[in-house]
Amino acid sequence: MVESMLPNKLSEAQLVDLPSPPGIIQKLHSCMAEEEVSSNELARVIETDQAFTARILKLVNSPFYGFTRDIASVQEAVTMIGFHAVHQLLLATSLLSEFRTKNSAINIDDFWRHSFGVGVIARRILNTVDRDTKQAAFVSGVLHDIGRLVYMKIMPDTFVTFYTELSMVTDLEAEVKFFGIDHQETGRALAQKWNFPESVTTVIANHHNPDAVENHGLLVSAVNIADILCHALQIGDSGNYYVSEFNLGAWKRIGLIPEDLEGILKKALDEIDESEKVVAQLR
Amino acid sequence: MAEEVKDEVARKESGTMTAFDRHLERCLSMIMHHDEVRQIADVIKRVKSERMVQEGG
Repeated sequence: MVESMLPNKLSEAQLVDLPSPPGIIQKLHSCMAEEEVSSNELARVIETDQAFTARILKLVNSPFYGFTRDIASVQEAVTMIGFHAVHQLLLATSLLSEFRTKNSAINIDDFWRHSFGVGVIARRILNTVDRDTKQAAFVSGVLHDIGRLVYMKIMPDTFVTFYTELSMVTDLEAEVKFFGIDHQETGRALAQKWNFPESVTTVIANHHNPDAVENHGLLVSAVNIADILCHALQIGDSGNYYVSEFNLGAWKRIGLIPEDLEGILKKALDEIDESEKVVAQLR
Repeated sequence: MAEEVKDEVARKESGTMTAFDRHLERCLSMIMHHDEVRQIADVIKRVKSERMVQEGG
């Protein structure tokens, strides 16, 4: 049955033709590549774009960051949450704007609720690590399934057929048979085109295979476990029919014990409920 | 160490595990860590059912 339904697969050319990041993001990349960039310089680049300025200020003043006073300038935002956090948030928000898409196969609000939930839980799991890694856990959690957006964007009708007719077999092998490439690889292609940090790209490209990575194992494992927890708790919907197999290697790597998990999940669920508005701002 | 075990270790170290090997290894780990996996499942069920009650109320 599956063979007879196979459409034209995604071509390399289609992946090369994926949308590019906007000019402001490219300027930010150049700025971040300099060895001694100051918060002032970074803020000046962001402030050249009004929409980006508004977006970053909304985000840092949202309940998600929980600062007790208003952050009034981009420079202050950079100082409070860090260079890398601002850079990654802007990358993520512009990518989500670019791929604002509707598709009848998946409720897109549920899709983003799931993605946001994975980001929040991954960040909670890595609560004791440094600020930049926690931030990368959040961003890569939010973006872990962007490969599915590539399907929706490039092959919307095929995507509908795949998820409506074959919703029981939406695993990686079925994606390869149907689209020629699984959503981890389409996600990697997009993340590379947008120059996402290597850590975030690694998570996107390996979140179902945390045992396969050489670098960023902790980050990939946190997102893998967060993804499974989100599915099991039915937070949103990514299009997966089944809850993925629990990966003990990933669980061991993140170093949690079951007794810690309950507190993490309850705090994360409260945070997800309180921060619904952030999801809207990320899109 | 038995020859088969040495072979298995060498195969793992050389990265030539098949998909079946990996699946088997995961299943065996689950069995060996059954208590921990059950505790994790219990936590998920408890949090989920509390949440459903909360949403229902």
